[in-house]
Formats: sequence, C-alpha cells, structure tokens
Amino acid sequence: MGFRRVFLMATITLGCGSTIAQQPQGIVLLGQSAPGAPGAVFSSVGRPAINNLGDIAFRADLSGTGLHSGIFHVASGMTPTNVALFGDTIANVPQQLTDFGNPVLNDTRQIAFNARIGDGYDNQGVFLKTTSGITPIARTGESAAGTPSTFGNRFCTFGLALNNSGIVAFEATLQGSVAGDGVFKYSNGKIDPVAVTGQAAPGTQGGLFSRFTGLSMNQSGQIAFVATLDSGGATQGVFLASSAGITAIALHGQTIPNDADAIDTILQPSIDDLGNVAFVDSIPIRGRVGANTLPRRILIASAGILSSFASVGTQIGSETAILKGNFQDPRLVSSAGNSGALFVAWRSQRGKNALLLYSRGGISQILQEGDPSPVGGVYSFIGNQVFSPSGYYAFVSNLEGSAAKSGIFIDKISW
Amino acid sequence: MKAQIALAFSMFCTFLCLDQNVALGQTQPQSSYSFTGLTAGIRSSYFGFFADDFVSSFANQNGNEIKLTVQLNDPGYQFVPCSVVGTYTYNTLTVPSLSAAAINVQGESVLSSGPEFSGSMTVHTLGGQTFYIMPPTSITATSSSGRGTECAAWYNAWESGSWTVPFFWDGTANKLIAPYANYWHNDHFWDVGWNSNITIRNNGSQSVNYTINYVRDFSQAVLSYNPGNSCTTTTLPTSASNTVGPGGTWSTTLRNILNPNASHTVDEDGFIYVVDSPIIPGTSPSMTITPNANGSSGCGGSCALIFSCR
Repeated sequence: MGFRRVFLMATITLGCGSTIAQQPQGIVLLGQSAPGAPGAVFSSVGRPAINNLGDIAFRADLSGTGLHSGIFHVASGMTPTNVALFGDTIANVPQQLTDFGNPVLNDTRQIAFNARIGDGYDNQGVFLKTTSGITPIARTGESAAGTPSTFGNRFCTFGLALNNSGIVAFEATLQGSVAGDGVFKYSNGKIDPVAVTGQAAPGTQGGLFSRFTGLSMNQSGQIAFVATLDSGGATQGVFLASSAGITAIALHGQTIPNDADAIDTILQPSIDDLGNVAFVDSIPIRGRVGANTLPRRILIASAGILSSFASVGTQIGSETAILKGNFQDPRLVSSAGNSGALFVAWRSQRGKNALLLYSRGGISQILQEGDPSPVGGVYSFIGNQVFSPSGYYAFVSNLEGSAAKSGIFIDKISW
Repeated sequence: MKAQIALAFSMFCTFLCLDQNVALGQTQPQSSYSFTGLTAGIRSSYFGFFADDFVSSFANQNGNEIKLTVQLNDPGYQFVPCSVVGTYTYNTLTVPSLSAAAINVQGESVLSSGPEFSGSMTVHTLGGQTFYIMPPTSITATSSSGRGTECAAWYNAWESGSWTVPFFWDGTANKLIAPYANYWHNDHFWDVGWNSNITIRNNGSQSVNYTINYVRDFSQAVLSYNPGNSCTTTTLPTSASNTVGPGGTWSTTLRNILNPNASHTVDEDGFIYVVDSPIIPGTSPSMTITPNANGSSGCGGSCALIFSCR
C-alpha cells in the first residue's frame, strides 16, 4: 500500500520543466450498483464525457435486471445518478428508449446522447437533457432541415458534440429523395445543416462531400469534421465549419512542411477553443481481407500550418523512451495560457499503451498499462480518454488483479 | 412503472430469445474471447510453397462504438517488426456502433518467410462491452498443393475456400446477426474472389418480411470501382427485403444485394443483420461463403505478404 501511495503521488515533467501530480481516482467501476435501477450493476462502461467542473457522463451496460443500458452522470465529488435508462419513455416519442450511444456534457450539466428507439436498430434519435428534462432533437423519419430528405436510421456516435451555449452538433444519415449523410447543428430548438452529401467541398478542386466520419465542436460553435469526397482532387479531408463558411484544413495527399509523408487517411478530429485542430493520420492496409488502418502519427493544424507532434520515434520529454505507434484519439484543449492534447500511444514497448500529454512543445507521460491502479490491480488496457480545458481528464481502463474488471478514472492536471 | 416495463420486456425477451437461441444453438456475446491452435505463414518444401492463414471478424451490436485489443501469442515467434517476439498486439480497433472489423494475420503481423506462427489469439474490449465474433478457427485457409511463389501459395490457399458463418440472435435489439460476410470480385489480386450465400427459412405459422442489411467494416461506404474508367467509384445499395410465407425459404447472396456492375471491382468485408417483421419464433437463417465462378484482375491492391521483419 505504501508503494502504491508513493507511486500515485509521483510527479512527471512537462516538456518545458513544469510538473503535474498524478493521483487518478476510480470514479465508476464494473460491478458497482447502478442508480435508478434496483438490483442492476454496471457491466460495462463506454467513453465518458467530461466538463470543466470535473463532472463526467457515461453510457453503461447493466446486468442483473431487464434494464440493459443507461446514461449516467457523476457530478464532481459525488456518486453517479441516472440520466436515462432502457425502457424510459420521452414526451413526443412514441416508443421507449432501448439503447444509447456515448453522451456528451457541458459546463451547465446539459447532456446530449444518441439513443435507439423501440424494438430494433433502425429507429434512432438525438436527445438533449436539460433542467427541463429530456427533449428529442432529431429522430429517424423527421424532416432534415435544409435538405429535401428525412433523417435516416443512423445517428453516428462518433459525431456528437455539445458546447456551453447548448449547441448540439451531430451526424446523421439521410433518406428520401437525396440519400447520404449530413452534419447538422441544433441551437435553441432549431436545426440547420452544416454540410451534406453532394454539397461542394471548398478547397478541393471540385470535390463533393460524400460521407462524414467524425466531428468535434468548440465553445464558439466552430465544427471540425472529417468527410470523404467524390470527384475533385482528394478522396478525404478534415474541414472547419464556422460562421464564415467551410474551409479545408487538411486533405488526403497533402504534404506537410519538413515531412516526407503526405497525409493519408484522417481520423478522430479534435478542435480547441482557439480553432486549432488535431487529428490522427492513418495508413490503410490494402490487398488483404479487412479494412484496418495503421495510425501512424498525430497532426495539428494551427493558424493554417500543419505539423506533427507525435509519430513513431518521438521522444517522451527528456527520457530515452520513444513513441512506437498506435496513436489514438487526440483530445485538444486550450485555456488561458495553456493548451495541450491528451492522447494514447505505445511507448518504447509495442503493445503497451500509455496516456500521454502534449503541451508546451513536449510530450509527458501520465501513466501506462502495467502501472498500479488506485482500486487495486494494474491498468491493462487504457483508452477512451477525455480532457477539459480546466485540466480535468478521465479515461477508461481494464484492470488485472482487481475485483473490478474495468472502470472510469479521473484526475486533474495542474497546468 | 420502470420495473413493470423491464419485467414485461424481460418476460417477452426470455420467451423469444430462448426460442431463437435454441433454434440457432448460439451463445450470448462476450467481452473477451480466446482461441488456440491457430496457424499462419508460408511453408517451403521440395513441392513448393504452402500457405496457412486465418481471418477473424468482430461485430459490434451496441449503441456506441467499442475499442478492441487483439493479441497473437506464440512464445519465441518473431513477428513483424523483428523486435516483437512472442506476443503481437494489433493497433487498437475502434468499431462503430452496428458495424464490424475484420483482421487477417497475413499482411500485417506474420512473416511469410521462416517459421509459421502457431499459437493463440485473444480479443478484449475496453470497458467490458460485449460483441459477437467470427472465430479465427472458422475461417481458415490452407494450400491444396505446392506453388512456385509465396503469393501464389497464399492465393491458392484462399481461392477454393468455403466457410460457414454462424447467425446469432441479439436479444437486446431482436435482430439476427452474422458477424462476417464478404463479396470480393474482380480485385486486382483476388480476381475471382468469394460471395456470401444467405438462406432464411420461415418455419413459423405466418408470413414474415425479412430485410437483410449489410454493413461494411468500420461503417465505411460500400463502393464498386470501375477498372475501365480509372477505378472511379459507385455507391452500392446495402439492403434487400422479401416476404416469406410459412414454410418458405429466401435464398440470396451478398452480390445480389449489392448489385454491382458485373465488370466492376468489389472488395467487401463486413457483417449482416436481419430485421424480421413481425418477430415470431421459427426463423432459421444460414450463411456460407464460397468462391465465385470466375473473375478478372481489376482495381485494388497487390499481394500483401511481408517477407522480411523490417
């Protein structure tokens, strides 16, 4: 126990010499009782959302009753409460909610989430929970504003964001006279299209938006989204939608200053409040069964300049350790005087994930698989990290040697 | 009220799911799987080269995405790259909701020269979520005879393969799931390719409308490529419906559902889910994957084998 305490209070050095204390807390563990569902326990947890207060919201599978899953909220320092549960009925929605996507959360404790409605996979919707209750924002079959189509049967769980103004950005399939996908923005009861299939993609030499595969939104309502393209010169790109319109940030095949490798497949965009955008650049593995990609680096677009801050061989702080691959889910934030990106990658030993922070021009390690967890056992599979500008971060880890097989952990970086 | 809803659903689901499960002989999805007795690589002998390979597919039936870690284990075996010995960990797979991901060990992790991989595979989700799997012990390939090159041996191993894919009854969403399906045709390397043959028999007492839905790996767009026009793409349909009377059978293929131009290249891996309306006991689905009758070399990649550990 003494060892663990010493370890957890150890400090790490940021790129330019400042330090952060590490003491993650296990805030939700598998096997723990689920609030609002007597007899049910958490049997899985998904990617959490986090706000500047240190609250989290998360989706969980439940076991022990017929209530299969739910959305839950943990206010900072408090225990979980339920937001929505399997079987809930919502005003103006004719059928019950039967499954959920990962939620998003803002500083006023509003929570947005996707849900399946009724029996099956093909009736879904986006919902917003406020102090007034849960309201449906968009559902399968409803008119998709600004298009001749209706919302289709998929609301993408990668494509959901919520800011402190209560704006919800979401991705949905479209059906009807014009089928395809779209990115939409909800604000004050009104939905507007941001980009839809077939729309001209600026900066792409005649490209048209085809499908949308991930988005991120900041407090200004700027939306960074990844889209595949038809026609034009590039097959894919990441774009920024703002009040000034849509601009291309980076495109497939684009070269980067002082880097021999052109951009290939763009994944997992993240935008901060200054409008900087980070994303993963991956290489598809062709000529064999399966469509997997190898995530080879993390790029950032800042003031129109593209650069890489994490790739194979990047050094971790002043250590001899280097990054070995598996770059996952950069979470880019900025606050007064501070900015950084939280991400996961293999360090030194391939196959061993570490939770890393890029800040002040350098990379620091927060923890890695194999480290002791605060609830016993060791972290064995780390991911699904989230990060807020105030410094709060959370992640999911499986555990070896612990009664709880997995859980959500939270801590705060002192910038 | 909520308890009543849960109880009612639970009773309904227990009756229906048990019936379907008994009929299908399937198990519930799990958060981790482990398989042993797996072999992959290229063997060289006096009679030429022989290939062994396997594929596994992971289908996510949840309302949110899942993250998977996949490991191969063979003590002392040298993977790609050379520094990886004994245990190979794939890059983390993020599988969208209602989608799937397939991996093939040849082309990424296993060397096509030197000793073969002979060991086990483990798969875990992050956070304990469950998923359905097409076991790597079920889609395997072995050369029928020696070939002059490693790539020819690999092609030979897969070209005449025929595999059975299980259907699972997802008791949460009340849908039938087949965790793997493919249709490859006129690919640059896999010119003949394979097709998925789907049969749904209605053993119930009333007509049922079935909709077969195909979803590509990682929820990507389903496309065909035109070799005659710089491999330009066409988006393909992904679902088909049919009403089957009591005692009737619907037999179709993934090729029929996607309906590509016969000269186009298609290289599809994904999974299938079937919507029944109404949901009544007695549906009996099955799927086999078999080689196409013919094909020509069109768009796509080349032989993906790796001969040095880099």
